[in-house]
Amino acid sequence: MQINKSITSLFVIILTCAILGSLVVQPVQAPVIRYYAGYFFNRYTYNTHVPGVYGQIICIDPYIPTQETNMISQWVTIITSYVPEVNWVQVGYRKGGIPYGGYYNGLRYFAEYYSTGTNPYYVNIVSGSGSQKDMKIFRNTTGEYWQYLTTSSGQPTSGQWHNYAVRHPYELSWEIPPSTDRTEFRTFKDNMGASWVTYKGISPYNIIDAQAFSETTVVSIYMTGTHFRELHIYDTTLYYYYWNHHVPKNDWPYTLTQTSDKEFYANGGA
Amino acid sequence: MRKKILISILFLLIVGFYITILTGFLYPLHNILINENNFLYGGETEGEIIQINLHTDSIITMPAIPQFTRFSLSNGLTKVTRNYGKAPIIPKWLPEGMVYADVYIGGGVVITTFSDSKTVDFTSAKITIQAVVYENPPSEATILQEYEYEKQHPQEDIVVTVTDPSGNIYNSTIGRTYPKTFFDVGNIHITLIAESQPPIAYFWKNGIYYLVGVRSPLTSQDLIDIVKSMGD
Repeated sequence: MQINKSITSLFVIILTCAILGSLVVQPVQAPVIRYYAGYFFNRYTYNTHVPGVYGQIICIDPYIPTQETNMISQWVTIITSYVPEVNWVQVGYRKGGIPYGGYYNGLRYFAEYYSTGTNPYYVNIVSGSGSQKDMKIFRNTTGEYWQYLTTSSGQPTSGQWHNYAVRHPYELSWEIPPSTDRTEFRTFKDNMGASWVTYKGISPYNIIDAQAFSETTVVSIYMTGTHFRELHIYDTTLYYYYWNHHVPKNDWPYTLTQTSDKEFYANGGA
Repeated sequence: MRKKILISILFLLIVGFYITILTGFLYPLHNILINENNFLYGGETEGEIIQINLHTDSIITMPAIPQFTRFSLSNGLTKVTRNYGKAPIIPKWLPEGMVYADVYIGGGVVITTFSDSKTVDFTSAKITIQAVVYENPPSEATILQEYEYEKQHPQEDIVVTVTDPSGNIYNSTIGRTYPKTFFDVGNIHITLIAESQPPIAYFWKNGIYYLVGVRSPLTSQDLIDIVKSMGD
């Protein structure tokens, strides 16, 4: 009887250890660090309104070491907050892993937002072709998932200039079609007369700054050949004007050549 | 005569009781801010440069964080006032234990933070107040018009529209915005998104646009009390 009790106790202990062990030994994904080279518009000094941003970016096609977290992206973006979370609307192109949708080592256009007041918080539209065309990638409170759209939006071409823009149409009296919806943001690529991806429901929606950057997740990706030009801020009544100031940022090992407020080059890798 | 005196004393006691309750409800006495010098500086040295590198456990593309200069509350507000002729307001009420306060300047904004412990930077502060100072802010009429518009649209679908190169348009409803609630304090009009994580509230006051957020364990009720005290 006593032996049976001991065996039972031992069994319970082993079972408890096994359950606790399985809980403790969960796969832990290492944080993905970012490296940047480019410009902040930095409206603080001049109190400027920023109802949108435009830029031209030449498409580069660097070698991306095959790993899902390896990626390069080049984009223009508007910021609606830095705290309590960073909120943004962004458009550009990328090469490398596609979040949650599996690795894809090709050039893609993308447009995305992150919005604290919105569920899902994060949405990313990625262009493409073939079987992986036009993925919508969501992040919400219950997890991540992705699905296909039924259209193709083409792919950026290496060595070619492409135009990108984010606009807040409510603040732009000249925008066609006009919008009274404060939560609407439009992203454009190449055709500045017709929105590529439009998001409705973004909150907060007051723009506080603009950025233009090349971004990588690992320094072994070379961004040599990076070139941004014709950086503009949209104007509420006139169309737009050139960036008239900037704050540079380049993380090691990337270098930045500041040609003017509206143009820069970035190079290097390690 | 004695009866009249007793009734008067009783009356005063009852009135006093209710005033105490009401005052305590609005602003618990121990949490009233006397002035900005009451707080401790959460940084190491005045005017230190703060570099923040965001990272995530996924590979979404994300913006860079600009360089910020960090000051104690008193010095930071003085510096902003010197630059702009006005400084962001600070709450008259805070949850208990918020003894550290800092001001970060950079990236087009002024960020005021409050916390119960020292923080490396604003990303882990319990209370954050992002203030954007505008030289030419919207008129009161425009602000009110925007507020009324929002009140008519307290919760909406999130709609994504994609146009392909041939001009075909694809619409997709992918979710809902968190419900917004609204309240007025004095002449400011506050929009609250209580269900978002973290909860946030935003409003305009004296030409400055404010976005206020709180982090756990603070609650959306704490946020409401904080922003209400900023409106008085």
